[in-house]
Order: sequence, then structure tokens, then C-alpha cells
Amino acid sequence: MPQRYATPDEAEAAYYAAFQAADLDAMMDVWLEHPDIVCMHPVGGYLLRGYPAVLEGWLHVFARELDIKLELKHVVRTVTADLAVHSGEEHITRSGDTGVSGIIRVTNVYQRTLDGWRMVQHHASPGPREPHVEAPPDFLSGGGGNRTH
Amino acid sequence: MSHFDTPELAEAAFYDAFERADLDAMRAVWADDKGICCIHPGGERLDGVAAVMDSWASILAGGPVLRFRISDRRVRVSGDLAVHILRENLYVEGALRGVALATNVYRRDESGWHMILHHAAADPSPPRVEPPAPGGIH
Repeated sequence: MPQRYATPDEAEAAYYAAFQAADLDAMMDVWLEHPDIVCMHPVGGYLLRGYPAVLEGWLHVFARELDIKLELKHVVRTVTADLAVHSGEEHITRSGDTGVSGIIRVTNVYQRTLDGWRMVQHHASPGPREPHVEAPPDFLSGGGGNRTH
Repeated sequence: MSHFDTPELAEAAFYDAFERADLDAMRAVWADDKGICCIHPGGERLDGVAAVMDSWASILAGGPVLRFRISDRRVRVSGDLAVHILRENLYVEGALRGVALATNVYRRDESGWHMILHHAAADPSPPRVEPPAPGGIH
């Protein structure tokens, strides 16, 4: 039986747990089973509409080996009685990387149903190329091609 | 601040301001709120009125170059919150130059509906059939 998510945050936590575990059943339990749901993956994806298309999209994602850690950060939340919009950054760390490997911009939308909150929309797109790599102030003006190592 | 009676009117004003490169009109579309958020194609995210409007000042400084044709719009509304997803088909001088996917979010306050989020990114797989160019090209 489907689980109930009492809040948008609970649905979101279940979404990221399912993603990280590559658990298709758990993932599709988070989504509302409805023709109007929409999922946009960040690369190589399609604008997927409706439960069967969204399910197939996740099948493809999970068919690859996903040895990653995924954290949602800097979330801006807007919520009404029945609709919630969360916009944030997915920080992805690949196995073996010491720092964040990449950032995905994401807007997640949840809808309250008779059976709790469910995801109805996921819009993910690539973040900036080097999100947290900032050159030190003297990096460009240092001159002479000095290197510290 | 402009008064938009529906999210659709606010959205029309957003794309109109973008096409006309009218910064004041663009400012009027957005909620005057530190919680607003704008993600342009390229991945930069801007939070708050100052950062968001600074970015529009830079973009619109290029002048009225782009024309938009919106397709595949899907609207969700609940009370004072509206979420639109759509394709932005971008034209320059009558030629389709790019397709972006956008999530636009509007909130109603005492002065009507205003944009609180614009998340736009290149469509990784735009439709193969090009929609007709806007503006009655013969």
C-alpha cells in the first residue's frame, strides 16, 4: 500500500531516499499517479508527462550505476493548503570524490491529495560549471605563473 | 506596482517586458520580496529582489532582440499559488534560436499576482517539429 506523506518535506525526503537507493517502487510511490505529472531530468532527458512516462524515465536513470550521494541544499519553500513549491540545489558527490562533484538546480512541486502529499513536478537543470570553486583574490593578478604546488 | 488579476496576465506581462527589454515593466511583474528566486539558463541562481533585478538589468541591456512563442503550458493553481510549466521557443529575427523549459511560479498578495520564481534551462530535447514563428511571417 502507498505510504502517506504528511508534509511536502516528508515526500521530498522519500524522493531523495528513493533516488539514492535507486529504488523504483519507492520513487514511484512518491509521485502522484496522474496524467498531469511532469518530470524534467537535467541532461539527455525529455519533458516527461504522465505516470507511465515518468516511470520509464526513472527506469532509465536507475539502469545506470548511480554510486552517488545526493543532498538538497538552499531550499526556498512556498506552500499553500494544497500546493508546495521547493526550489533548491542538489549537491551531488560521486563515490571517490572528496568534494561536491556537481550541482543541479531543481524546482520540485508537491500536491496534497486525499492520500497525503505527492510529487507532481520535478524540474532539474544543470548548475554552473564550477559552483564553489572560487579563485583566491590574487590568483589572476599574481603574475609570473606562480604555482603553489 | 502593477496589478495583475490572474497569473496568466502576470505571465503575459513577464514575456512582454522581456521582449520589449523594459526593465521597469519586468520589475513590476516580480513580487517585491526577498524570497523571490530566478534561475537563468546557464545555471546561475539569484535570490532576492536586488540580485534578480540586477540580472535582468544586464540581460535587458541587450535591447529588444528576443521574441517568445510559448508552448506546452501546464498550469496548477491552489489558492494564492500558481505553478506554470512551459516551453519558451526563442526567436531572433524570425528564426528559432533556442528552446528552454521554464517553471514560473506566481503568488497572489493584496496587490494581485506576481512572479516569485522563474526557473529556465535549455530544453535537452526540444520537439523536432519547429512551431511557426510569431508575428505573421509570410
